[in-house]
Amino acid sequence: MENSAAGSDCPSRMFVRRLIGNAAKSTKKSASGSDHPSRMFGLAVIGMSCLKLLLLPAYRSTDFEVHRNWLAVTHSLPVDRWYVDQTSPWTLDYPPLFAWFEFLLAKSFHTTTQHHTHTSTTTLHPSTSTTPPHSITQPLHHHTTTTLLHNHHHHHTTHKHTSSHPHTTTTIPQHHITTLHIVSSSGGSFLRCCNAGHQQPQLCLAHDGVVPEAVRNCYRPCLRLRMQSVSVGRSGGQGGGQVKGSGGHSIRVSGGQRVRGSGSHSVRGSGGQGGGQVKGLLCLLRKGEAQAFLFLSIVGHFSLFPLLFTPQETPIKVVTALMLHTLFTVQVLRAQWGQPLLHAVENLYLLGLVPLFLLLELGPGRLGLGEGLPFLPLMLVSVYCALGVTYSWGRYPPMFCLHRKRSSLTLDVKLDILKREEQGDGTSTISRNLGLAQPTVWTVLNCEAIKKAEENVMDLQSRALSTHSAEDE
Amino acid sequence: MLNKVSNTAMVSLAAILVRWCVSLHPYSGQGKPPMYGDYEAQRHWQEVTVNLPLAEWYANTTDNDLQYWGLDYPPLTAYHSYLCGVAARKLDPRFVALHESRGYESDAHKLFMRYTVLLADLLLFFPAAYCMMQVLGKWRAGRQEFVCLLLYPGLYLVDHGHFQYNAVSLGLFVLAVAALSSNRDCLGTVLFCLALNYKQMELYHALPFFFYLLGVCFRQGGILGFMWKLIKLGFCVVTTFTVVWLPFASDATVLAQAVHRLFPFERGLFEDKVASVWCSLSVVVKVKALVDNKNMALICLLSTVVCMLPSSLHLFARPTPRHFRYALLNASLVFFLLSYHVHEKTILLAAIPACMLVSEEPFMAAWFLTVSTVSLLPLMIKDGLTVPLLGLTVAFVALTHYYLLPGTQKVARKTSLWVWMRRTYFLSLAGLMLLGGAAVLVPPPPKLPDLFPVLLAIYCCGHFIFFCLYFHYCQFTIKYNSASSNNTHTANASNNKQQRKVKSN
Repeated sequence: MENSAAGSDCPSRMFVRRLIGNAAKSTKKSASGSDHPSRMFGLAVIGMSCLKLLLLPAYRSTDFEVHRNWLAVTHSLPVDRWYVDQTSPWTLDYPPLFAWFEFLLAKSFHTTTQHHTHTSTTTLHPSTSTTPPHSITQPLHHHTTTTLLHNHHHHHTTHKHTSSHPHTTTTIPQHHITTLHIVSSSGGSFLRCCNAGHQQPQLCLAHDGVVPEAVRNCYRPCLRLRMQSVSVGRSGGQGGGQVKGSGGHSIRVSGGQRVRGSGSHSVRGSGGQGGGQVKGLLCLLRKGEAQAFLFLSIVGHFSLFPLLFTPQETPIKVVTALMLHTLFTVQVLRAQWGQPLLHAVENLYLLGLVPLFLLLELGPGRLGLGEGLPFLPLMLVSVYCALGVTYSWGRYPPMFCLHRKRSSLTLDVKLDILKREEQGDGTSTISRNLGLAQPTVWTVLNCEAIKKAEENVMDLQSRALSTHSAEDE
Repeated sequence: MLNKVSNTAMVSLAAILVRWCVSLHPYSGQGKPPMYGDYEAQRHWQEVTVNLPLAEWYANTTDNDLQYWGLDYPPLTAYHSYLCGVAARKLDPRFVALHESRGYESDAHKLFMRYTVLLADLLLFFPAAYCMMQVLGKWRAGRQEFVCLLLYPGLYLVDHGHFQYNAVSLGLFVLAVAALSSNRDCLGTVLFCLALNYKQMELYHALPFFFYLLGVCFRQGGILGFMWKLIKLGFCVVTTFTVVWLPFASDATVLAQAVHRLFPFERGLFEDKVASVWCSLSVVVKVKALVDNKNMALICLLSTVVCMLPSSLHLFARPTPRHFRYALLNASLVFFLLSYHVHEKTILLAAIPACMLVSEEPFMAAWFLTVSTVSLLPLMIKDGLTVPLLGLTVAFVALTHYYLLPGTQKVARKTSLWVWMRRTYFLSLAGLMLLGGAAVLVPPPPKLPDLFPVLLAIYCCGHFIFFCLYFHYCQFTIKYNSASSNNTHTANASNNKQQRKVKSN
């Protein structure tokens, strides 16, 4: 082949070999460098960070004013007025650590923009800055707020003045969860939630009343709206609680999510996302969990679509959220577990998402269903996704119950595993073919006792053979 | 682990995603009256082509003021603008209302324009990259070229950010190269003529095409074979040009005016701060002041032709697809460095051939692509696209290290030259970061307002000269076996020759 024949005369190939050689030596692995997990992780981190940088303009339009106000409040006012200030409708309604974080951010922002015309954060204008440094540091500061707090989940609260859809949910409790949120690469990164209004009268003026005021600011909306009725079909999405993984370890997903307002898409979505994250870890252990994860993640993703409703975001929604994620998840899980992953009914349900998407994007008017039902698409999306998510949740208890039964493997099965391993099958192949969990297979392969039993059996068999042959003779 | 179809689909989807994310950012000239930028130029061309008769498209009339973004690309661009303009008029007549829509800017219009670029990309560039992958698959390459072609940041930063339709002409160009590499010469000729008739900048690639096809003709065996091939190719060229220019051919003045618009010599030696030799020289020697435009144009022409000759003649002597791709890269680099009126965006014409060579020269091609992306920084700063450019450059370097370089599984050998080269590579990246960071963050001294863009341009120019020499060296040292199957033309011309041993891949 010409390429390889000419390879020796190509100087850069020699250099590439040297680079690879060094890399191989340092990682102590053979030349399958691209499959090394740390490489994949590194590439994934860089890729996702780059993508988020690219998406900065998408944040600017709504969230900037809210955070600008918080930066201004924490920077300019003394601590005891942070939760009392009402110069802007967007009062601070996150717990104190968040407020201190905004304070630090405001400080760093202030020092970097010293040599520009804006000297006070209260006079910052969110747009039309033409000097390049300013335009970088502004969105970057804004951006760090989201990434650092939310661990790659951009759950944001903002108020949409011009929105005609009452998107009204909150993720307040998730701020309290912090480290227990599992990082997942699902499309939840592109979320933005909306807030139904922060207008609460502030009563307390004394200094020692700051703490209860802060608490009240954070939780007043929740306290008030827990009274509101939550319609049927949406409570199914109130995710969280404890999910017991296999092997006895439990992971708390969310400490109880409240619903603010009348819409609950993102609750369902975040319930789905929350569930999806946990299951992301578990889906590699059992095929059933992989199936449930796949189904839930697709439905959960779709349920977030109404939140990204500007026309600019349509291709992003479609391309990333559904196709890339679906394709990638399907391929990875298919490689792990083999086909097929979803039942016919589940496939049919997922196909039904397509006309629903069209309805959502185009609206009932353009599809000829009349102008009198402007909320029809949203409602249908809610109900449809609720069905899917509830179904997904319903699949889990049986799996865990079955898991509790300790079925012991017979010696035949164990010998079969050993034989397959000798033939050269990997643990994943063996587990797939025999329908067992991978740790089980691994244990069998490495257990001393089983090996001893195998030797005994082979001993007996050889002795039986020799006695047979002796008898034949 | 993942099969090829889903890999291809995922790379394509990722490419669409990054393109759309870049298009969320500002375009050139956004909110900057009176002239705005390239975006307004494209919108204006839609307005002109939709509202005015064809004879007036290139003419300076009361309705068509050529000083305000006059049409200066060949007819295919005009036809494309016409189609887009018709669609625009259907959506909202205010987009292309004659005279009143000057400087029209709105979110809906931006969305529409961004969609037209994405559509052009999807219809032409993606299939072209796919065809290239299929053609190169014969020689166990192709996948890395596919990834590079789709994910090279410079192209979609200019197309989807700054706002242009380079993907159309470059897509046609890549298709032409793929066609020629798979022995479909007439198809390749037609495609290249179409690319040329979309943007006259494709003339940068015209010489390699010419010499390659001439070399192929000479290898046909016998004077009859030569003549027949020549006639076929000539016929393709003439037909394509006729079909494209026919609507303009009814009137000689219209034709003359159109041609005059395509090759403006009044514009000057270089625009802005571009990484060409003349711009770098002019820091030391005021070239623009010493020599007038016409003589300068002659000097450029002469120097370009002289530097082009080695690579082109070598290609003529050895017309194989592999030599062809190297020659394309060499020709476009020489043109970029030495030609008249070079723009920063012209580096794309060299970057795309480099993308097609990435499996042969992974390290050098990737290095070149990185430098070429960063050389677009001054342009991107003006457009407000700094953050995407920086982010995407980092991502591309990561792609190089995690995907392109490990893809070549060879055992390393130690030579002092390559130790030095590796250190130079990291130094070069550090220099790029430093200069790029300075250009973005550091306010320049008041006496030298363009200090950092000029420094960056000179730095990149040095790199480009080095790459030009290196790739020339590579082209001249490719092992050439006239009987190898990479050179399919000699395999076909077996009538009057003796039997040869054909090497199998």
